[in-house]
Amino acid sequence: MNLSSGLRKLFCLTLLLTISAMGDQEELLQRLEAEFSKIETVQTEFRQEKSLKIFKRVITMNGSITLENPDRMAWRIKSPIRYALVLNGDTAIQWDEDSNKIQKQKTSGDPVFEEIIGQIEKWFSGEFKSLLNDYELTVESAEPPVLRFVPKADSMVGKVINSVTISARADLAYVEKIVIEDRGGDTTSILFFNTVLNEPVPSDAWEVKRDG
Amino acid sequence: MAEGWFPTFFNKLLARPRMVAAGVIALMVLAGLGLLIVPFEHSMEVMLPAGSDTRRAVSYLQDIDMSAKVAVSFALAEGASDRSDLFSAADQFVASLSDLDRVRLISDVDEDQMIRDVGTFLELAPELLGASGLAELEKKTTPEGIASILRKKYVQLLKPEGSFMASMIQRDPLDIQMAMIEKIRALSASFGYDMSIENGHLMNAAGDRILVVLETDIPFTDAAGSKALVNDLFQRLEKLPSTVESEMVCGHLHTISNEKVIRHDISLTVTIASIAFVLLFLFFFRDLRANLIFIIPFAALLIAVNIAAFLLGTLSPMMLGFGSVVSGIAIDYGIHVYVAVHRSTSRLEAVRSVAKPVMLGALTTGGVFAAFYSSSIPGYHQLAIFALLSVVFSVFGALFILPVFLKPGAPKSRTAGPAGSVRLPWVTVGVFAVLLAAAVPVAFQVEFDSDIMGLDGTEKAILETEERFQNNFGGGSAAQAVAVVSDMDYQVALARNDRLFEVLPDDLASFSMIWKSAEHRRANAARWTELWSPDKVAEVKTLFSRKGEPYGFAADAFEPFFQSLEIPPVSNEEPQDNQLFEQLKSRFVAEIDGGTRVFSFFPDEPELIDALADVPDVFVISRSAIADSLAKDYSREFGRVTLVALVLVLLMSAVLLKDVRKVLIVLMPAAAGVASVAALVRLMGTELNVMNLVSGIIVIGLCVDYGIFFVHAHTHALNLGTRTAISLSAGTTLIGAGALLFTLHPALFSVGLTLVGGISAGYATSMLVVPALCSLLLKEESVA
Repeated sequence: MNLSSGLRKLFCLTLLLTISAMGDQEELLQRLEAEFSKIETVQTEFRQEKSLKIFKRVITMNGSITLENPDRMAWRIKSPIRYALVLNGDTAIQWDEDSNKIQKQKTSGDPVFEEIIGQIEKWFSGEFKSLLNDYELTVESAEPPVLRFVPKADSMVGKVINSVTISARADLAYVEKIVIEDRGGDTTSILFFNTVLNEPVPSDAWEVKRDG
Repeated sequence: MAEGWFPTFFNKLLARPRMVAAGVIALMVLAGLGLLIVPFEHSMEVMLPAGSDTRRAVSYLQDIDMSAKVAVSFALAEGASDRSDLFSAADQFVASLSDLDRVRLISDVDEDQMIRDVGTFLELAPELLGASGLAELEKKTTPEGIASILRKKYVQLLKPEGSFMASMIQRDPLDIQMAMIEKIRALSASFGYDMSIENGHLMNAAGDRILVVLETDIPFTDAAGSKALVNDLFQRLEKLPSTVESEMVCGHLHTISNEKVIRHDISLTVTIASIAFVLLFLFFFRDLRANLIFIIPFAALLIAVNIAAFLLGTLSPMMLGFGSVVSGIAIDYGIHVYVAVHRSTSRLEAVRSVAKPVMLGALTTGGVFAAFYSSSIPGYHQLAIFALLSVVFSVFGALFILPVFLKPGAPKSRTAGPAGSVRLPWVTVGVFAVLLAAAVPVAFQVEFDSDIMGLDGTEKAILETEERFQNNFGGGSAAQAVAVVSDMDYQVALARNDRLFEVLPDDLASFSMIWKSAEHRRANAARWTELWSPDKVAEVKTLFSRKGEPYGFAADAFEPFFQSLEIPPVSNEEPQDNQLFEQLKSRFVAEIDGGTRVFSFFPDEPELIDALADVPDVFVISRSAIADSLAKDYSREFGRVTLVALVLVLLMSAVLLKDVRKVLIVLMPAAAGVASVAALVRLMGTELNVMNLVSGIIVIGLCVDYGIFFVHAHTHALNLGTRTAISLSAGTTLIGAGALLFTLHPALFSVGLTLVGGISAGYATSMLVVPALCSLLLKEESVA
């Protein structure tokens, strides 16, 4: 699995899944469809905590994520390492402080990537129901919405991920927290804060420089 | 006069015209029926020198490129937008193949199976990691190496995809398995295709076309099998919904198309030539019996095809294309006999008077065709046998069968030879000498076109479909050079391939990257076990613990890796039920004639070719060098055949004419013909191909005949219509060759073009220059 697909899988699943879970699943999905279809751009900071068996302590990272409808996304880590990934159409550009190299690659033809992009598009357009083809949905809390998505056993993502739990903001405007549990029991949680919706994104957000 | 076997046999035939006619008709019917079962083989290889490296190289490349595979692509039709239609159409087509025993799907992709297959290779990595790989590993296990690796893994784990890579990093912190994955990726990339996998289907990079690849045991050289296969597949494709379009590519389509083009060309040339011959004879001779002249070579051809096929076992359809040319040559004998009988009161006397030049002409023409047998090109052998038989039967028919059905005419004066009075003979000869001298330097600039695919008459639509495939799915390995090792023993072939790979490990896409000989794998496994001694394991564990501390790696973080260091005994068996292995093996390994050939691919660059040139047991094929090699082969063959043809023609002319001056005169039309062929090719800006060489040599034989007939009539003061007969001979040959100008097949067209140019020049020389030379050099004899 390459980095872009991993990133997007994580983020998409998050977004996708955030969408349902309030009492009546059907009604919740409809409400979320209506709210999320209004989103054109997202600019948010995040704190990510990785609790992996390979580490003896929880690794905490800070960074930012920028999204622009329909096919732009930037993922930047500020600490403990500096790293940047920008997805623009079918191109992925990344940089990290250790290699200090900017790498550019085509993402078209990568089935995992295309699947994830497809899911994001569905999320922005509010086609949440179609996402349920690949996941089983459990609404853990209606207020605020907490949805738990479990990949179906025969799906590719099901070979890696055990579950993705998404907490939406109380106003349903955006995702607040995502928790991913993999098949080996490792967990990764991402908390979103300082989120700005539908504001113009500066053009340099889609650029990758040697300083990230 | 009527003594000896000739008049006796001749008179017996004259006395039994009905029996002769019945015999000829019966023979033609039998030969016509035989034509239906003549086995034709469509292969360009027939035009490559037997036993040459070039032929071996082309044969190997055909094993790789043209193995009996069929590729079918599916795309949504214009206006259709539901991609699920695309997938279901491809699935429907694949399902419909279940009743075709000789076709097997090889492009299905089971993603779960693929993951399992890759996993097998990862477990086998210690066996496949060679000495250089272990040396790299040793570097990674130094304190500095481990510190560097742990930092890299730490960064990797913090990247977005890191959450999904932790278990892989725990199992493989030193990237041993990752290197194996890279090798598999590199080998897959070496196929030169740009594709991805979606829902178990091979897709093009744009994601709008599905590729289905089938394998069949029907060779593409099998014309009947190819037709049945392609029909079966097209029938199934026609049943697909109209929202999906499909296209097919395979070597079998080339075979079918070539046969179609050849059949079209043969029908066309025979029709054009037949109509032209009949009209010519009807309007010129105004005698229905003149048509018999045409029937003689036609019958001879029919019989010759059958006998040639019987002797050779198979025939190339390209040789049949020469039928109209051979008939144009062979008809000459009948013309001379017809004209002579018409100008004589006795059929026997008339035939006796022209028998010598007819026999001499046939001998020189036969000598020219026999010269093709000195070539090592099998296609030339076929032409030699086919044409020689045609000439023999035509001469027999002209001398013995034709006169039976002709009526003698009025006697003509025998006091004047055909040269008559020639005006300004020195001027004519001088102009000729200047023109010939001017043509020589032009002729020497002619180059050889060594691309035998230029002889492929495949229709344009098929070639365009192949180009679209290349654009949609990638170019394949067409531009790569190939190194081949082989042996009757599979393990020996693999061992040779391993040694080859060690010469250029960074440049070769080799099967050795993912599979080696059992002996090699055992040696690797032994080195692996030796490296990972208990002390070494303890040392690396300590280093991981100490160097991983700053990043927070757990003490047992890499325990899965240490547990995997102990490996099971090496098995002689290949990975079982492993689709990935099978697909890669089918690309690199071919079982042919009970032996094994292993192919490696690399950029077609001179320095890499040179690096492999001296490696024992390796045959290197540079696709770019094949063209040069073929050009040299053809130059050598052309030189040899021309020399033998000239020697034979000179010998026969000298023996039969017994005069150096006559021989020189006889050769003038041939010299003019060959010079004009070369000049024509040069002036048209084209190159001589392997088939043009045939026309050049045929021109020699024909034009020599014109000279012989003229000199014979001149020296014997015969007035048996020699000028008329030569004009008719040249006219009929030009009709036969000219018919080729209407063909679709590129080889036949170019032969037609050069023959028309050569014969025209030879005819003009025999009508203008030969009389002048005769009047200057043979004056006294003719008067005498």
